[in-house]
This record gives sequence, structure tokens and C-alpha cells, in this order.
Amino acid sequence: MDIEPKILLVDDEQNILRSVEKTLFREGFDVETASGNIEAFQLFQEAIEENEPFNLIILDLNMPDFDDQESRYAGLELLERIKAESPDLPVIANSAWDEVETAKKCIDKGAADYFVKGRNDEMLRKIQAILGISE
Amino acid sequence: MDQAQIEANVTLEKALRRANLLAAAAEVSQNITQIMDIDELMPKTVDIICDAYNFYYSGVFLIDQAGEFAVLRAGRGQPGRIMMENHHKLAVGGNSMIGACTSLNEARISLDVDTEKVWYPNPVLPETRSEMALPLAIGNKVIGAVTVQSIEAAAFSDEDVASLQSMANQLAIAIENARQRRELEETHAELLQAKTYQAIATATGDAIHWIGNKAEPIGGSVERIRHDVQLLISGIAGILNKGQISQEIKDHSLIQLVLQEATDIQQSNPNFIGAVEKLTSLPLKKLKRRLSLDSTLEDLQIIEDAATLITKVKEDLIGPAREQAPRATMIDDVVKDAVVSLGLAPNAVTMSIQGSPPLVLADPVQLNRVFVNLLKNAYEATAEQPQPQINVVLRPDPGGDFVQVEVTDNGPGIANDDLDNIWITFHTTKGIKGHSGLGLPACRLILEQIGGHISVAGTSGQGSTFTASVPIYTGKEAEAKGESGKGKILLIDDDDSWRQFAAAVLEEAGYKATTSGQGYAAGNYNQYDLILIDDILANKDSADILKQIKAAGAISKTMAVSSNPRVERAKEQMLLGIHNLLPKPYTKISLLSEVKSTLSAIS
Repeated sequence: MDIEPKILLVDDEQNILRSVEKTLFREGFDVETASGNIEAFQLFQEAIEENEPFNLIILDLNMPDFDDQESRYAGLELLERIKAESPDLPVIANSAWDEVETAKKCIDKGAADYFVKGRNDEMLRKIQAILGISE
Repeated sequence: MDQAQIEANVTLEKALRRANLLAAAAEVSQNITQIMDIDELMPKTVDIICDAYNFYYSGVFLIDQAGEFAVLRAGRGQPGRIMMENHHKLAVGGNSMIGACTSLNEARISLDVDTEKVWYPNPVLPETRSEMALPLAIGNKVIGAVTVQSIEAAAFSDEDVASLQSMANQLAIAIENARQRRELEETHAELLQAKTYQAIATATGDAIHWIGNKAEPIGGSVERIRHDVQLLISGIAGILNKGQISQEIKDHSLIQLVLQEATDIQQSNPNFIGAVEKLTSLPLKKLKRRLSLDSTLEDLQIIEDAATLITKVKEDLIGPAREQAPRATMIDDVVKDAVVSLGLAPNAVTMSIQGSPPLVLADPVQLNRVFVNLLKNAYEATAEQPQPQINVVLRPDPGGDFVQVEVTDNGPGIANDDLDNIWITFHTTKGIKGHSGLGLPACRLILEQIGGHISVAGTSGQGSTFTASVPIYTGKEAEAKGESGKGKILLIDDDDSWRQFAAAVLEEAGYKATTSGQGYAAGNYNQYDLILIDDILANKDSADILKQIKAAGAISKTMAVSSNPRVERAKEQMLLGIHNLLPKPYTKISLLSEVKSTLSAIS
């Protein structure tokens, strides 16, 4: 693939952001990062305005919401806003919690997939599947 | 002797006895109000009663919890000791005088035991001729009784009965007060423990999530590093194996090592060959992206950062988790110690103390933690200011119950929205480096556990002020025993309130106290019987001075004192050979007792 798929990675834990960004970068993706809803949504809109929209968004759930307050389900709000503007843009949600209910909520709101943090291989497989990339 | 003279003598004798009784009543009242400890109060009272009235015996009974028996709690002399050992008790409402007195709430008097119809002679009190039992009562509630016994018949005048009963009433109130005080203290201790457990539970719950997040990136970094190292070795080996290489290179031990390692890697992971081939086919630009020293170093940095953060959690959890041992403490000394122990640049912190602050009731080690945390925060907040300013002000609060310590910095301040969040565990406004978001919550928990509190003021862009309020110590200090001390004592400390206090107390107690001069030098260390050195000294490491003292051969006569004894320092100092390292005594009585016991242990 000549054009690198563009991924927006959203997490408020700086070290996780650094680490996942590295993993994705090594796999050949073009990665931008944001650490909360406000920053993420801004990057998402700018990319559309510049006519270079993201191909995929990966977001955390527990992070600063649109009022910049730490909230356990801030990521769900972000997911809704993104899906409202770009219904076809795939979004993968992730969380530190291995909870079925949380996963269901995300899928309900339009997430393409859900994974538990720390499982990098699983994350890569899901991304490749969603973007239709074969190894 | 005529009748008039006899009457005059009788009157005089009566007046003298009356004066004695009044003096005794006054002594009992005074003791009753001074002695807070119930176990100390009762034996003292029986002694005072017997001495003042010249009675044969006196004893204090308290009714047990079931209300069935009056149990002897203090008795005069040898008979008292024997009865205490035998757990002497009398049934409430029984035939004994104490039994009747406690059930009826009225005094019982027997002026001649020989004429009493019902009288049980007590084998340990064979000489009793008259006896009186006085109820100890708070209003209608009888809590016990006092017995007084005389070897004379008809020993009690009406005046005696009245004055003894009023004394008994006072005693009853004092006992009840002491009981309530003990109950309050126990409740307080339970509350303290409950709060501690609650704090630990909250912090642990948060910590699990937090540590999970901090540890999470480690796995990815380790996996990348492991993969890259193997990939690099396999890749180089692959090229070496394909091309023509000279014998000289083949014989090189490093090359042999690479080839050997690559064989091992391929044996344990056959799929690697594919990865290697894919990698070696990439152009340099793309290859760099997959495999670079920068990337490995960054991964190591991620691991290091995660480890630092996780270790920091442990430090901050220890604070509230450690059980507190509150005692009378000089707060100015603790604050000063915290400033000095941080090793900040001179003049980085200005300190002003308004008046002479009273003693506070706190665990100095925990209090030190609070101020170290506040000062660290202030220091970090001002790190980017052209002229960093940290001011510490100590003042009594207007209500008179606390000493307030204000720590003010001229850093960027805290946004209004964040003013409440800073007390939440694991919330941090300072980014990722070295902060767990536990420091301030730990400060708050520590202060709340001892009945203090902490608040913050300040607006974004104009610095912030943290005010810690620490409860004033209200306990009465018992009088130090009047024995005069002998010996020469050297005090090595900053010229602060503790040194002044210690010098004054030691001088007053008869010791010859000398304070060290400039740079803590003190001439011949051997001339002293005891050397007291503060563990933390401004602008100087106490270890250097301890080495000088050791060289002079006086190390075994040296005792270190610290507001915040630390394991590492204690270990170093004990290895140097000091006699002991102790928490600083902040009251007269504790200082004198430490000095006395140390001097006798040394000699």
C-alpha cells in the first residue's frame, strides 16, 4: 500500500499513547494522537477540512470529556459525535476493563470493534480486518 | 487546769482538726482536678484521706458493669494490697456497709463495731473500731463507694461526715470524667483506625486501575525490543550466510557469536525466517521505520517512566497507610526540617513565624511528609518562573485551636475548575513525569486523621497558597521530677526553636549545656558526657560531623535526634557507632527522661 492509512489515536495516558503510536507507526500507519475529547474532535474536523480525513479512529473510554472533565465514558460521547458527522468512518473503542456491557454499549453507538488495552496483536488484527489490509 | 482552760483547749483542738480537714479537702480537690488518669487518682486519694484524718484504712470501690458488685479499686497500705490481690468485692445491696451504701446511695456509719449486731470482721483490718461507707454518686447514679476506718471508737464527727461526703462527691465526678475521657480517647482511636482503613481502601481501589494503566505500555515495549534484537541478529546472520566472506571475518569472535545466536533464534522460532526476509527486502527509509536504535531507546524510556511512576505510588500510599503516633510536636521545627531535607537552593524558601507557635498534636514523621509534599509541589510549580518564590508562614489560627502553615508559590496557579479535583486521588495537573496524583490527597488524609485540615486558595496565573491547619496540643504536661542533672551536654543543631528549648530545659535541670558554634564545630568532643546532634542540619550533612566525632573517639556518647527518622540514615548512623537515633523530644519531660536514660546507659 503506497498511501499510508491515517489513524487517530485517542488516550489520556501519555505512555500508552506513545507505546501504541510506536506499534502502529512500525506497522506503516500514519498516526496522530490526542489526549481528550476536545483535542480529538478538533483533529478529526481539521482533517476533514484539509481533505485528508482519517481512515480509522481508535479511542479510549475513560478520559477528559468535552468539558475537559475526567469521565469514565467520555469516549462514548466522542464516538457519537464522530459517527454523527462521518457515519462511515470506522471507530474502534478500547478500555482497560474487560467488560461485556461496556463493549455492547460501544457497538450500540456504532463502534466497528472493541478491544481491551494491552493486547497489541489483537489490536493490529482488528485494524487490518477493518481497513481490509492483508498481511 | 480550770474549766475555762479545758474548754479553750478543746476549742483549739477542734480548730486545728478543722484546719487539717480543710487542708486535706483542698489537697484532694487539687489532686482530683490534676490527675487525669483514673488508675493514678484512686490510690492517691486513699493515701491523702488517711494522712489528713489520721485514719487506719481507706479504700475506693467501683461498681462493676453488671451492677452486681462493688469492686475494690484502691486500698491503703498492706491491707489494701492484699485485698486488691484477692480481688476483694462486695455485693451491691448485700449486708456489708459498702453493699448497703451503694444500693441506698447514702452514707453508713458504724461508730463502734463491737456493738453492731451485724458486723463482719475483716482479717486484714483487725484493729478497725469504727467505719464509715460513703457513696460515690453522680446525682442518683451510684458508681461506687469509699470506706474509711479508724482504730478509735466514735471516730467520726458530724463535720467529718460532711467534709468526707463532699470530698467523695468530688471524687465521683473526677472518676466519671476520667472514665468519659478514656471512653472518648478509645472512640477517637477507633475513629482514627476506621479513617485509616477507609483511606487505604480508597487509595488501593484507585491504585489498581492506575497501576494497570501505568504498567500497560511496558508489555508493548518489551515485545518490540525482544523482537528487534532477534530480528537484527537474524538479519545480519542471513546476509553473512548468503555472501562470500573472508576467512578473517569468519574467524572473528563477534561474527561467530552472531551466527550462533541466529541459529538459536531460528530453532526456537522458525517463523522468524519469513520476517527476516521481508525486512531485508525493505529500502533503507522503510527499514529505519521498523528497526532503529532511536526506537529501542524510546521503548526503554517508556519502561523507565512506567517504573518511576509505579514506584512513586508506593511512596504516596505509605503516607496515609502508616498508623499515626501523635504526640506533642514543635511544628516550626518539623517545617524547617522539611525545607532543609529537600536540599533546595538557599533562599529558595523564605520562612516567617508569627509569635512563638504552640506545640501541636501530630505524628512528626507524618507531618514532615505533608510539608515535604507541599514544598515539592511549590518548587515544581515555580520551576519555570524567572524569579521563583516560595513563602512559608506559620501562625496560630484566629480560633485558637490550630496552628496554620501557609505555603505560597508564585507559579502558574491552579485553574478554578481544578481546585476541587486536586484532592482526588490520581488526578494530576502536572503531566506524566514523576507524578502519581497521590501527594495532595495523602496530605489531606494525614491531616484529617489527626483532626486537622488543608485548603487551597489562588487563581489561575497568580500562584497558589496551601494552608495546612494542625491541631494545637492541649494536654497538660506533668511536672518534670526535680532531680538535678549532672553532666556536660553538647547540642549540635541549627539555631532554631528546638535548640533554644533544649538548651534552656537542660540548663534549668542542672546540666551544663553547650551549643555548637559556626559550622557546627565544637572543639574537643571528648569533654562532653553526651552529644545530641540533629539528623538534618542546614547547609551541612550531619554524617560529616559524626565522622569528626568518631575520629575524636566520642561517637558512643552521641545521640542523633530527628523529627523524621529514616531507615537509611538510622542504619548509617548506627553503623558509625552512635548510641541511638531517636525521634526529637519536644516536651520538657520527654527530653529530660531521654537524656537521663541515655546518660545512665552510656556510663
